Amino acid sequence: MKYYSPNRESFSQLLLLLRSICYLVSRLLLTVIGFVPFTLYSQTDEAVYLQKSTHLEIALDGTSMKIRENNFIEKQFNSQFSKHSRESIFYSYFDPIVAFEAETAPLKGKKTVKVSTSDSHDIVQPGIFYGGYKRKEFVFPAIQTGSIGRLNYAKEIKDPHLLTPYYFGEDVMVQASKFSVALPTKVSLQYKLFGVDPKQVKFEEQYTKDGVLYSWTMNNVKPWEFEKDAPARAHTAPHIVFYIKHYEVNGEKRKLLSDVGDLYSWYHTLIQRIPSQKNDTELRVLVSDLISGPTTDQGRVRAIFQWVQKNIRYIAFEDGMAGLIPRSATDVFIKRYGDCKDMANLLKFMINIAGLDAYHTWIGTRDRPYSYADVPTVIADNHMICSIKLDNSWVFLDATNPFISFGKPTSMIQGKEALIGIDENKFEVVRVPVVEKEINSRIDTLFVIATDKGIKGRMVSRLTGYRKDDLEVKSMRATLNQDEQYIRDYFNIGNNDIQIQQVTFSGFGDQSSPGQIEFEFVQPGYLKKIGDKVYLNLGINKTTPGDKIDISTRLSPIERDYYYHDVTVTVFEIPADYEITYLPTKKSALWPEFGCTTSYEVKDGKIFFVRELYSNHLYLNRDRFETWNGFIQELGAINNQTITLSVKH
Amino acid sequence: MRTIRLAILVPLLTAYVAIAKAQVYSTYNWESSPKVNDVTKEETEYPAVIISHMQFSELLIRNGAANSFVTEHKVIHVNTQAGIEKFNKVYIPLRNSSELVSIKVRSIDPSGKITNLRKENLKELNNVEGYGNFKIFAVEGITVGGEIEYLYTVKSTPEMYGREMFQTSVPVRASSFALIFPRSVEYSARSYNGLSEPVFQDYGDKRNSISVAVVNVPAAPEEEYSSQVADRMRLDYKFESNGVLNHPFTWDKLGSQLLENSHDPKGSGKVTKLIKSLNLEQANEEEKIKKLEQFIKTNFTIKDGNNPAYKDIKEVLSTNVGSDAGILKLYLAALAELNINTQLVFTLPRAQGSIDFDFPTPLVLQEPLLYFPAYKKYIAPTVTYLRYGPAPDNIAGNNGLFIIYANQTVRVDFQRCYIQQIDILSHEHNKQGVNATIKIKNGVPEVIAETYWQGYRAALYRGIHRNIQGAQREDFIKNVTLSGIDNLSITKRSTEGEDVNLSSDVDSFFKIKTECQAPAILEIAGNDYLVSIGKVIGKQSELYQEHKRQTNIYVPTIANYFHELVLEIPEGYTCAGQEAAKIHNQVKDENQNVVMEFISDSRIEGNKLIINVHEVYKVLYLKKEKYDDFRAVINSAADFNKLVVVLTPSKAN
Repeated sequence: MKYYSPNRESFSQLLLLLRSICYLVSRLLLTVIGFVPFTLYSQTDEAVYLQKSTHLEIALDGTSMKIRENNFIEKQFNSQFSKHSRESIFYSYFDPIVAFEAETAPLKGKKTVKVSTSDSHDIVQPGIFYGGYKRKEFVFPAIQTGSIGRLNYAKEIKDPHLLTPYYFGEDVMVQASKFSVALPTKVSLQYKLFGVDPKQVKFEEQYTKDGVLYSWTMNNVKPWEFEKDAPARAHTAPHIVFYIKHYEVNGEKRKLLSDVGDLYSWYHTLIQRIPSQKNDTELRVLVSDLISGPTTDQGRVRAIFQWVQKNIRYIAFEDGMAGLIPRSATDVFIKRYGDCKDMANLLKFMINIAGLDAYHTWIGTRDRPYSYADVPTVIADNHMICSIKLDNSWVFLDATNPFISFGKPTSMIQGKEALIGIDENKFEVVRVPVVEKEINSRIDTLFVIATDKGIKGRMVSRLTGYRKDDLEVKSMRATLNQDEQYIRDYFNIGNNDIQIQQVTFSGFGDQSSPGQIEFEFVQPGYLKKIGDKVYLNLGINKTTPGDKIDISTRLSPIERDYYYHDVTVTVFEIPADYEITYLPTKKSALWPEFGCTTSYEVKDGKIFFVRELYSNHLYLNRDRFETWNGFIQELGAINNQTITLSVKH
Repeated sequence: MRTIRLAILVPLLTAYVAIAKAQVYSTYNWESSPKVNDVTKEETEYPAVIISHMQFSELLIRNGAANSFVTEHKVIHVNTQAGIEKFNKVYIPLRNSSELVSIKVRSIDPSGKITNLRKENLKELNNVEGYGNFKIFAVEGITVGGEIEYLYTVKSTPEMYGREMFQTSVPVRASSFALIFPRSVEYSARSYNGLSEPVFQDYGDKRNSISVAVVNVPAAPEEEYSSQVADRMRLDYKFESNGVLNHPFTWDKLGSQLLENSHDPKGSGKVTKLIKSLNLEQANEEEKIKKLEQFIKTNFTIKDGNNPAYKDIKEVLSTNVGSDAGILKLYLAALAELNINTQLVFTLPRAQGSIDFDFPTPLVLQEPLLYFPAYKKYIAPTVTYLRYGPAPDNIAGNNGLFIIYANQTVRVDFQRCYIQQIDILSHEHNKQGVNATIKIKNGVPEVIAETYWQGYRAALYRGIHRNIQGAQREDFIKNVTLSGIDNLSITKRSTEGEDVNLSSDVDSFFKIKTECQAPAILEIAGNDYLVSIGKVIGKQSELYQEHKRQTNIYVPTIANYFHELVLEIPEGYTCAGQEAAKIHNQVKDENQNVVMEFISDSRIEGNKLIINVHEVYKVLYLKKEKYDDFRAVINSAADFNKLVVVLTPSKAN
């Protein structure tokens, strides 16, 4: 029966996926101000945005700042109405909706139909237990081919630190996209464009009696497409990040986000708001117990980190300001759960109890392609860890991953800037290293003998670094899903129908040693006997670094989780009555970012096959696609080398 | 582990009768000084064990108002981190007018230390799409080897019917459910899948009860091709009477009520106009049905949720937006206007269980269908990608409640109901497969393939193909054509018959033609070529057998594969190894009819190696005793995937 059989469930998952992208896109919508619509779209487009705009009105009211975000879209429907007619507006405590109006205008003088029905939903996001996010949802009514849906809504932005980027594009073509800001001259703004050549965006500045009006216009913005293994949308989709640098009140300049120092000052005020510790006796007893064994600072910190990893569950519980301010260490200690900032704060507190310095550290995961110098705002980060200096080097502690070994960053923050808060005035921005390929390795050793119908043997797989963490995560998921086949699926050795027995695990759950899995396997039908010849491909485990890229259609770069280096050694015992008639030659295909070598050697009646494969990149950009495809082709040829044995004469 | 069924009430409950005259929920309490339970070696093999799970639903009538108070008390012993992950986040569903009367949550760590949930960490989720309202909390202080315990009561409008599942993915030591109600009220209940019979008894205090209690319920295994609901132990219950309302849940009354709910005379004027605009005067009756369906499915958006506007036919007609119920009303009104003899059908997906003739309940009437007896065909009004013809494959084969009514525009006249099996679209109309020719040119295999689908699969794939574009569509096509071969270089691709409206002709084909280079199917051994021809039929799934099969077999769909693979043998080469293509496995039913089969063979014709494969699944359900045969058929295709033929230079060369 077919392997790929999307039943109704997966079909609806597909639809859901589509929908959630739409939500994502509409998350950062839109606004007003007259446009001349262009007519470049083709009728084959299912829908098209004629206009989309967001206009920010920033005003000073005494010492406080008032920000209203006016959004507008005008969308034409051509086909597939039920796919494009739904709209969602996302909001929360920080940006409530204050005005809403929507309608459908049919073509040719028919009556406009106002949207009178909408629903508000609390959103359940993957990975966030409680987020406080809401969604207002409605459907453009009475759509016919050519109908135009209009949506006009406004939100109040409660805190000037929390301005979100404007994305020019949508899931379908946008003919005219505009972002504008009106502000008094006493407020100073900064912006930066991403995912687009600035020449494609028309910038205008206009002085009015009340202040300045800036606008950025982009026409014919191509639809944003969801692609496999693509980096987050912020990496490639055209958007503008803008922020308020400073403003003037009563002749006095007040800095808001003029540089990363301002951002840190604000973060520091949030840290000051962490509720004070009540009764931390038990926590102190625990820490003194944890540090009583180790004799070095590193050992003590390791013990604390591992305790938090093992005992504090990651549960994200955000609610208004609780999304920005960590909960107190004792609170998290008692509950035994917390989100990233709760865990980071608990770590800092415990390390401090141990008499060492440790620091709150803000960081963007790889989903955020910004540096603090470019974008000194909350947009640059979305995560918090704890940092400590040991032997003059920074060590980044991210306990949200229960398996990561001490001293190694989680893969999602590799290469990112960490904003380390030292004290009220002092901070450092430090780059988190990318973990080298040799650290993340899988070394498989297979001892293989031929049987009547196939092969059998023993395999030992040794995993280190992210390779090991990955398997631990898989194992946890498999337990949750009652999936008993994950080991077989993971090893992907031979073809189907492999029987795996006597599986033993060692080293997992112990950060000081590699993970090791050993098992015996039987694989009928793997070798091919024709007449007196036997054909056998010694590349029994088929791990591949990825697929060929369709260069003509692929838009985004390819994103990898981490660098790695895998080795397979297969030792095949030549049956006594056979001799080798064909042995493939040594081959290699090597580039800086990826490569593979294989070799065959005969010794003591055995064939030793060695295959090394490495991946040394986190992103594969368009300019390397062709090289990559060349590599995949060569790799295919290398993998398709088969040895031939014949009956001895 | 052996299941011992107890036909008695939960001791705690009976114990409380004496104390709590009027109500149980308000006085029921948990142990004031709990201790962590010991678990057996067997139990530690699971991420967690449910030590006890007790629920009781009390119907209370006060000042003429009736309410249900549902109390749940659960104790979970967690063995591993995965166990914590699985059970530490709790969602309490609240129906519209329900309220949480009381809640207590605590964890007990292995040393006996108790951590109580702080009330500020109890959160609320409102109107979560497709699910409604919840109270949610994360259990505080839980550690491996410890226990999670919670006890809460929800007040709601009276529960008229319900279902309790007694089996879950981890073992349950003791589980009980009790309905407690005044003597003036009558309820009935029924057990399924080996759950002990419910006990009806005098509860004292002018109340009666229905209850079930079980101990040592084994974990329900997660098996492929099985139903998570249909085969598990469960109790269904329903209201019978209170002297005023008598036996509302008979098939006739349910049918009549569902018909009533699906009809709304308010929109009749607008429906007349809509029908007129479709210009159907010249069309025959089946064409009218098809055109109407096509119009509604193209122009109307189905929106979930309880918003009354989506159910109101007038609103639906003016906005083109409706809930399932609103859209159904539209169909009924339009079909009445067209004067087409229609029956309304309600049923449920096979995997969710089936209709029990002797226990009418709304629980089994979830999915609507429209049935046209003159043509023996259906419309699935809420499944937008399907078209007039067979019922959806996840429903087909189940029994449905068919409602016969007289077509009236302004009112509906219920006539009668009957229960009948919903037709399955036979394998004759579900042909699919790949016809491919493989040539080796300059050491690179070139494949010309036509992949085709009919029936259920064609309808589904057309729907997906229409709904996605760009990279996602490419990905989909890659997954359904030549999926067994990595890194194809496509030189030409075309599709045919992709219009979703073609699905009303079940025999029509959706085809994708591909011309490509497929280096991955060729291995080189010196001068010899090894061709992995088995991969051309697409990646096949495989069934392993870790344990003895425990659940019956639910097959997702009917399928009838015919593949023809032609390998052109290069001049000067001979082909060998093709005898491995001879595979034959089958499943026979009780009457020795073949209901599933895989058969493949090869022959050489001139310079061509021709391989034919036929794989068919004619039925949707098998008893678990047939599992080995079923597995053999399923795995035949995976075995075929491994077929490699060898091309060697002929001796003459």
